[in-house]
Amino acid sequence: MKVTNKPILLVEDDQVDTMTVIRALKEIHVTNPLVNVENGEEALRYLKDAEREKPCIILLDLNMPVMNGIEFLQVIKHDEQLKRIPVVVLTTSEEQQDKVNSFNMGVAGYMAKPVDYRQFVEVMRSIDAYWTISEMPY
Amino acid sequence: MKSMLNRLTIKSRLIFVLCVLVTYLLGIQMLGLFGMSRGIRGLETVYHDRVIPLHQVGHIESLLLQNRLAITSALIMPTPEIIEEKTQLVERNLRQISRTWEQYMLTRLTAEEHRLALKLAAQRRKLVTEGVLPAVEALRANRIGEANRILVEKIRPLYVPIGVTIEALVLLQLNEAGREYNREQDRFETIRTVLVASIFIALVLALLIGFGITHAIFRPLEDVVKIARGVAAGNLTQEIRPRSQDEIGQLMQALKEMRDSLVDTIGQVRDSEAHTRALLDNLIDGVASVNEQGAIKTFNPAAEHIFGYNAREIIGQNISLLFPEREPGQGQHDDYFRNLPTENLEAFDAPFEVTGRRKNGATFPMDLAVVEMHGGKDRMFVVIMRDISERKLAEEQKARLMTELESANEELKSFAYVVSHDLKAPLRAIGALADWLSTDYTHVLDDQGKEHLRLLVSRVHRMGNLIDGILQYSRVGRVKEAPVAVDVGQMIHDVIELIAPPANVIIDVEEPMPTIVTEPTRIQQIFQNLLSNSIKYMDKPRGEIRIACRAEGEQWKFSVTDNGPGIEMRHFDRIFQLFQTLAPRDRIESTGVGLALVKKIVEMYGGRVWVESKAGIGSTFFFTLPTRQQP
Repeated sequence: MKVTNKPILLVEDDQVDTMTVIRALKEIHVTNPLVNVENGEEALRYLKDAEREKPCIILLDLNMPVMNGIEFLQVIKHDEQLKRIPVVVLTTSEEQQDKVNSFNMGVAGYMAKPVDYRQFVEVMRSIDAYWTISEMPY
Repeated sequence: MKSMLNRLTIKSRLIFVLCVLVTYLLGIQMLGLFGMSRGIRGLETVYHDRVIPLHQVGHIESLLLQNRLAITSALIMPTPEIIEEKTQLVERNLRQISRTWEQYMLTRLTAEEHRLALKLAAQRRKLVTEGVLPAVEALRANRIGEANRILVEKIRPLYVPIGVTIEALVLLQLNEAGREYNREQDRFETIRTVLVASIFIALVLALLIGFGITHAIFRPLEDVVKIARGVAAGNLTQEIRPRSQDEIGQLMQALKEMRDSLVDTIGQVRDSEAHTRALLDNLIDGVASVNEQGAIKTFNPAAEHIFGYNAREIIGQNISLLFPEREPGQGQHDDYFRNLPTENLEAFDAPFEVTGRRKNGATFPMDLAVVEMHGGKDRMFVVIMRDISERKLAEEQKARLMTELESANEELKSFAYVVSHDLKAPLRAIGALADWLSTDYTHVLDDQGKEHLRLLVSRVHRMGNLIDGILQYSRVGRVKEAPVAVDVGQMIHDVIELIAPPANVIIDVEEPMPTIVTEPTRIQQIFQNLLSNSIKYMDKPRGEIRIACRAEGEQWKFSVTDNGPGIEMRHFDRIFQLFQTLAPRDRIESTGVGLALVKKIVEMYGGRVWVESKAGIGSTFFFTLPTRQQP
């Protein structure tokens, strides 16, 4: 990541998936703190809390209880403060409709979670590499 | 004879009768003329043969008497002048006598007359030659004495018989004239009688002809009139038998033909009416006819059934009775019938949906069409009504079913989604955890434990592939792409690049390849699966794959041929079924989805897929795609 002090917000309800992300980030030596919330509503609460630091990137699962990823996108992409935070979708869904909806909401990337952990590490490595090179809004 | 007479026309019969009458009258006239001319000729004969000779005989007698008197007077006063005068008179008279005699002799004389005439001629000749001529001579010679003697001795005695003869002749002539006159009288009588008889016969004939004409013309004519009146009054069954072949017979025949044709026409009309009635009675649609004011004139059984009204009670009522009272917001077609009493009906053929009202007050949806009937003197309209409440119900049911189906389909879709996410998520967790175990605890695990974990990860992979296969398979036909023109040749090259075949496999693409308007991903999936199968199962050190295409009618026929292991014929059907593989999965990693997917895609486009193969030599997979993209 270009900015190493800002947190990465992981919106993910599955415990093992969260562990996978944490482990993969650790394996590729990403030092940013990771904030994990379990659904869109919690993520919004976190983002709206002025006390908490805004994340440099949001890793978003789509299929979640209470508020799913698409609903979450609809809220933050209409919020002046939040809409510039890059959102990378991390999902198992290969549904065309999910991809279309996500990109309609201006996501920065759409990554399918591979079944194989090694491949997942490679995905995470790519995301890190990209956001290390890419400029960020703040 | 009678039939021949019957066959004659009245015209010819009349002409014939007239001819006969004219001939008869002409005959009578001829007869009268002939009789009259005969009478006139008879009178002429009486005149010529009797009156003229009578006069001539008288004349001759007077001349003879004159001669005698002349001679006598010359003797009384025998002066030369008187002698001369008298002798000349005598000679002149003699000449006249001979002339008159010649004329007399030329007239028609009876035998008796002729005999007397000859006698008279002889006596006259004797008087002239022996008396008159010598006396004249003597006088001229002035021998008075001699002349006197001749007069006394000759002329006087000789004259006496002449007088007798002439008297007899005159008598004879008078008798004859009287007889002839009587004869002529008789003839006139006869002619008159004949004429009177003829006139009488003519009268009788006229009576007979009149009677005949009456019999032949007026009686049959009256019959014809009677029959015609009967037909007009509707008696169509009466017997019409033409009795002759004349004009009246023809008239009768024509009348009969007219009656027959009328009977035929009426029969046809009745048939047609019965047909129409049967049609109307058995029609599913309600049909009513109304006049311009909307009064119902007919009401068929289907309409009775629909509305619950009896035809008897509804006929005469206004058709607006069949429609509910107008409520605000209802369509204008209801107004149409509400406004009937004030507005004239207009026809509209295209059926539209209105609300009807049954006798029990229940309203129901119906299709309505109004057609104007032409032909009668009043404008009539046919109103066709169809109860569509059942159809409506069915439509609603169908719509409900469709909704249910759609939701079921939606469920199926979400099932696929659930499979893709909820099934893969734990699988991925298992895979990750197994990986971490083997990584983090590698120093604790023995070789067998490590092998088990490796197998666990590989099975996780396999299950992941299976789930992906199911997803791919379920997406075909569910997820639609916009069809675009796909250059198949170019696409095959892309697929080959994606697959990256090993160096020992050569893929040959026959040119030219067509351009097809279709969903690109599906075509790509077909070739990707077929090519990767060929490569995956290749058992020869040098693999050869050949892709070809040719047009066959309305379809493109593609083929992918390889020199791989080939497939036994008994597996030809099995290989296209889902999850069916021929090799153990541990040897060749396969989900058994590929060919099933190909089959589903090809069949979705209306094509066909099949395989021809010989075990050990190679296989050819064929599939067809329509040249024209189906809508």
